[in-house]
Amino acid sequence: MAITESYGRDGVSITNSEYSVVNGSTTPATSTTSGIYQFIVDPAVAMVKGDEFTARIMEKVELTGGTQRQACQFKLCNAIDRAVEFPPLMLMHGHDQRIVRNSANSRNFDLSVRRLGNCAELYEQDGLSVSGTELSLTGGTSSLQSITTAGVFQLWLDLNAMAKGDEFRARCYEKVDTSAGTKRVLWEATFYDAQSEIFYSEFTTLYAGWEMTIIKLAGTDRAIDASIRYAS
Amino acid sequence: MRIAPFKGGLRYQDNFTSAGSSAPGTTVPAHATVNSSKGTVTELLASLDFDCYELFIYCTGYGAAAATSKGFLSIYVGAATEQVLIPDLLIGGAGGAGLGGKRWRFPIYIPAGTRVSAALGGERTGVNANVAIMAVGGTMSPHVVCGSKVVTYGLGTQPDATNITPGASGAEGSFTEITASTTENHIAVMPSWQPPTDTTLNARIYSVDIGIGSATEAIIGRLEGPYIYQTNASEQCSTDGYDGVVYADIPSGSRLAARVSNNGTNDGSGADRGQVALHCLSL
Repeated sequence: MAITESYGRDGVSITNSEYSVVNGSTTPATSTTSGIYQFIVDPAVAMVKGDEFTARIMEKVELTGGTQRQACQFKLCNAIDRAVEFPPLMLMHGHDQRIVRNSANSRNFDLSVRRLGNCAELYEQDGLSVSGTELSLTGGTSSLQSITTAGVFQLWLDLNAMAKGDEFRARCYEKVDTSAGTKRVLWEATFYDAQSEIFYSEFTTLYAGWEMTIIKLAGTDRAIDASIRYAS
Repeated sequence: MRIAPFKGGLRYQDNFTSAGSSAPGTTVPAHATVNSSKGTVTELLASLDFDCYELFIYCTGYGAAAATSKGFLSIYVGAATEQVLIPDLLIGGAGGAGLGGKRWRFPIYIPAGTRVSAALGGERTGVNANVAIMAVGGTMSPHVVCGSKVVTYGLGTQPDATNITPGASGAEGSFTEITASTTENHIAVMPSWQPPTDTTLNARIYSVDIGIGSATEAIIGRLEGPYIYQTNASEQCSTDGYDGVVYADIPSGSRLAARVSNNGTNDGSGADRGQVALHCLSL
C-alpha cells in the first residue's frame, strides 16, 4: 500500500474561522478527488485547560444533488498532548477536513490528510423512499440481491431527512459458503430520531453473496441517499 | 488517540416496570423448600429485538428483616430447557425499597431473537424476588468489548460461596483464594458479595478487591476499592459502587483471589463473615 500525504499543513494557527485542510485556508473545500483518506490532528503547541477545538470530516453521500454534511468530529479539549487520528474513510463526492477554535486562544496545529489508496462507488441510491419494507441498497427495490463482486466496502447513508419518532435500520448480509451458503446478517445499525451526522460503516470485506439494506421500523417514510463504496 | 465514531443509536430493551414501583422487573420465585436449589425458571424477555452486547441485571426484594438470605441467581437463554448464560450471582440480602438491591453489568453477546430468563434460590425458600434486566446493543459493532460466556468461581454448596473474613474497622483484609486455576482464558471479571448468615446485621460498607496470581497477588486492573456493598440493620444488602467488569488478561490456569474490607466490626460468626464469588467473562 503506497501511502501519500495529500494535504500537509504544519504549524497552522487555528482561529475561530474554520480552517480547511484541503484548501489550506478558511475557504471550505468540496473535493471530489476520491480516495481512502485518514485525517490526523496534532496540537503542535501545548494546549491548556480551557482550550477547545473541533476537528471534523465533511463529505457528500450523493455526487449530484447531495449536500455536504459532517461525517464525524472530535473535540480537542483542555491539555491534550496526543495526536488524534480519525478512522480511514472512503471519500469521493465532496469532502473536506476541517478544524476550528471554540475557545479564547488560538493554537498552532500540525494537520495531515493521508491517502491510503483508491476507492470507487459500486452502487448509489439517490432520494430512495424508505418505508416499512426492507429495501436493497444495491438494487433500490424490495428484491434483495446476492452480489458476488468481491472487495472491501464501506456503506454511506445520508439520513438527514429523519426526524423525531423515526427509526430506521441498515443491514449488511453476506454468505460464507460460496456454493451453498445462506445469506445472513453480518452487522446492523439502528438510527433514531434526527441524525447529527451522515453514517458510514466500518470497512467490511464481502465476497460470496452480499447485500446491504435499509428499512423503516417506525415513524415517517423518508427519502435517503446511499452510496456503497469499495477499495479499488 | 484513535477516534471511535458513534453512529446511529444504541438500542435498549428491558423488563423494568414502566411506572415507579417497589418491585421493578419480573417476579422470580425461589425454590419452595430447598435452599440449595433454584425455583422455576421464569421468562424476563420473550425475544431480544436486536443483538445485545451488554446486559444489566438488577435484583431486589430477596433480603428481609430478621432473616438470613444467602442466595444465588442465574440468567438463562433460550426456550425450555433453558441454557445457563450467567451462573450464580450472589443475591444475599438483595434489598427492596429503601436499599438499592444487587446490580451487575456484563458486556456479553446475546443474539437477537433470544429468550432471556432467570431462576434463583437460597436461604429464603418459598419467597419471590424481583429481577430486572436491560439489554443494550443494536449498533454495527459492539459499543464495548463483549464476550459470550460467564464462568463463576468460588461457589460452595449453594447458597454458599467462598467465606472471606473482612479486615475490620477500615483495615484491609487478606486475600483468600477463590479458585486455584481458571478453566479457560478470560477477558474480564467482576465479583459478587453477600453478607453472612446473621439475623442482626449492622449498617456497614464493604469493599472487595480481586487478586490474580500466587501470593503476593497482583490486584486486577490495579484497581482497589470500586466494588462496594452496603448492609443495613434490616438485614438487607446493596451494590453501592461500581457494577461492571474489570478488563484484564486472565489466562487459563490463573489463580484468583479476593479480599474484603469493612468500615466497622464484622457481622456473622466464625468463618462466616460474608462471601465472595467471581464472575469471569470469556470471548
